[in-house]
Parts: sequence; C-alpha cells; structure tokens
Amino acid sequence: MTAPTDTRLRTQAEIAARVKALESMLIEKGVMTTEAVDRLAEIYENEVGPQLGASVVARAWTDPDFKKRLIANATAACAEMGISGLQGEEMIVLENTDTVHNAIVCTLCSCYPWPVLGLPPNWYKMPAYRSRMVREPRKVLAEDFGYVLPDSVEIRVWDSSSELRYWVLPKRPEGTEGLSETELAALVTRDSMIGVGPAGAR
Amino acid sequence: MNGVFDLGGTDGLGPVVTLDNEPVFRADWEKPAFAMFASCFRAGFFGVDAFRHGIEKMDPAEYLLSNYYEHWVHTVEHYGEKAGVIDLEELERRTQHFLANPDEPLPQRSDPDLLAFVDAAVKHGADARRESEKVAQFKVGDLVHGAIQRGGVVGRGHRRTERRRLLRRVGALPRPGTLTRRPDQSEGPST
Repeated sequence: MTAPTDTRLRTQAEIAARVKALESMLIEKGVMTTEAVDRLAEIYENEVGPQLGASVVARAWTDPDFKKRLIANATAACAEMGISGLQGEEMIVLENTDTVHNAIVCTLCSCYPWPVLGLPPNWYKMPAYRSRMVREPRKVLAEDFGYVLPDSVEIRVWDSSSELRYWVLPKRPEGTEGLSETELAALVTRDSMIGVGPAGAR
Repeated sequence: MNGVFDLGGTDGLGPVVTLDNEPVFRADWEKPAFAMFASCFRAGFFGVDAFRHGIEKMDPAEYLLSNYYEHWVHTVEHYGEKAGVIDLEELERRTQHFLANPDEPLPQRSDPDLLAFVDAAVKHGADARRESEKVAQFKVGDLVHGAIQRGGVVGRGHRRTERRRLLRRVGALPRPGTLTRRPDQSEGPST
C-alpha cells in the first residue's frame, strides 16, 4: 500500500530489525536487559489490566462508603485495594449517572490509567479517536462504538495528561441486585471504564 | 510545542478502528520498544515530559501513519544520542545486520537491580504533584479558553478557539522538565 506522503514508512521487518539493533546497543551499554523486557511484558500481559479496575468498580457498586472515598480520591481508594503505580500516580474517577456520561481521551498522546486498565488499546492511541472524541463524542460513541446515549444525557469528555489520569465509574446495570462483588466485576468491561460502552455489555 | 500531535478537534482523520481481543503487544518488537521507556528513564535519558517531547519532534507525516510504539523508538533514539549512548551510524549498521540476520540472538546480561527497579516502578510510579503558592485563576463553572498553559487541564488544541466551562480544578502539577531524573540516582524514580 502506498502511503499518501513521500515520508518513507518502515515495514514490520524493518521495524523489528531497528528495535533489535537499538536493544542490542542498550544491553551492551548497561541500560536494559532481555529479562527486564520479559518481566515488563509479563506484568502488562498477565498482571496489570482492566480486571483490576473492574474489581474497584464492583467494590464501589456494593460499598457506598468506598464509593465516596473513590470519588473523593481515586488514587488513595485504589491503594486500599493494593492497586497503584506507574502512569496512575494521580487518578480521578468520574461517576456516570442517569444524566451525565463521562469518557476519557488523551488528545496529545496516549495517557491512560495503567494501574487499573493496563496498557491502552491501539485505537485509543491512534489519531481518529484522539481527534474526534473531543469534537463529536455523541457521534463517535454511536457510530464507531455502537453506543447510543439519549439526548437527555450530557456527555463529558476528559482529556488526561501525563500527570493526571481520568477513568470512568460506569452505571451499575439494571437487575444485578443479587450479584456478588466477584460476579459484578465480571460485568465491568475495559470499554465501560473508558466510557465508550456500558457495563454489562458483551 | 504546537504541532501535528495536538490532535483534539482535528477533522478528517477517519473512523475509529477497533479490534476485538487485541493482544497487549501486537508484535514481538513492541515488547522491547515498550521496555525501553522504563529502562531508559532509569538511565537518565528523559523524564516523562521529555519522553513525549521526543515523540513530538517526529516527522509529522510519519507521526500520523506509523505504529504507536515506533513513536517510542524515535524518542529513545533521540535521547540516546543526546546522552552519548547511541551512535546513530552504528545503529543503522546494526539495523542492516539484523535485517539480514533476523534470528541472530541478542547479547545477554543479567541485572537484578534493573528487575527490582521495574517491579518497584510499576507498583509505585512517580508522583508529579507539587506544592504551589500560586493562586488559582479560575473557579469551577468559569468559562475558559486556550492559551493558559500547555499540557494543563485547559489550553490544548481543541480549546484554542472554543470556550468551555471549567468542570474541575485539580491543583498544581509540574511544568515540563521538572520530572527529569538525574543519571546519578540509582534507586527508584524521582519525584
């Protein structure tokens, strides 16, 4: 495929070779190791991901005092559950209600609350979402994510920075009164905590 | 810096393309590219703001069209050269070598301190909040528009021309550059 620019883009093989070359130099200079690469990949593939945010949401749905603390200081409330760290040193949770729906974006790059959601999906980091979500969020939610919100619901879009990461406390789905915290957590999707889908969908 | 990366409100960039069950890393090379952020931060190449600034200096067309983690590779090369660690001619020579010999193994080295740093950084991060004596210029509910301060809660591209109501004040966060870490610090990220 020809790109609409004279700028030369690398093939996957060329990128892989470039990264390997850079990695080999950084290893020799004492900056990195392959075991550190494996460890970081292991953490974000298997340990830190949206299941952590989901457990926080389920706690907030079942424990009104915890929810108050979460809204007042998300960083501290998450730390109560042992959830903290890199790229989430300062977090703010935004509560969805019958009248207000929140969604997050990073227009400048890719800021995202890693400790509760893991690494962002590719679309979150790509130009289309970053450019349009702040201009026409209702349309993006409906057309790109199939998530239609009534006109009566105000949509607020929060632009994260590297120092401050927002994320969303979705509405608890109807008819879930009897469910346990664990069962509720299973209903909380990554997209519902970004604000591009409802909890309980899937 | 005012550049193509400041995408908020830009029209014409097409639909959002989502993928069900997308893996965390979409190719093997994305793993070392990702790990370079924490490793090179520890080595004093950059702080978080400098890291992003290195990305912002990319060729604008390449920025828009390339894979996300290629952005990280660009900034690591940029600051690696500045730090005197990466010689770009040598990097190019090795790139050609690995292109011809993709299965050649990487040099092996063990560094328990780096592994400990990785786990500590993931768990504890580096808080950016600062005490400030500045008096807030706006209160919640005020109408505000751009040109207040780059990278803050207000002032990004999509707010250059549009007035928006201030919904929340979050206090003082650092100016770019204040998160830079000195190479002589060995334990954990500085704050």
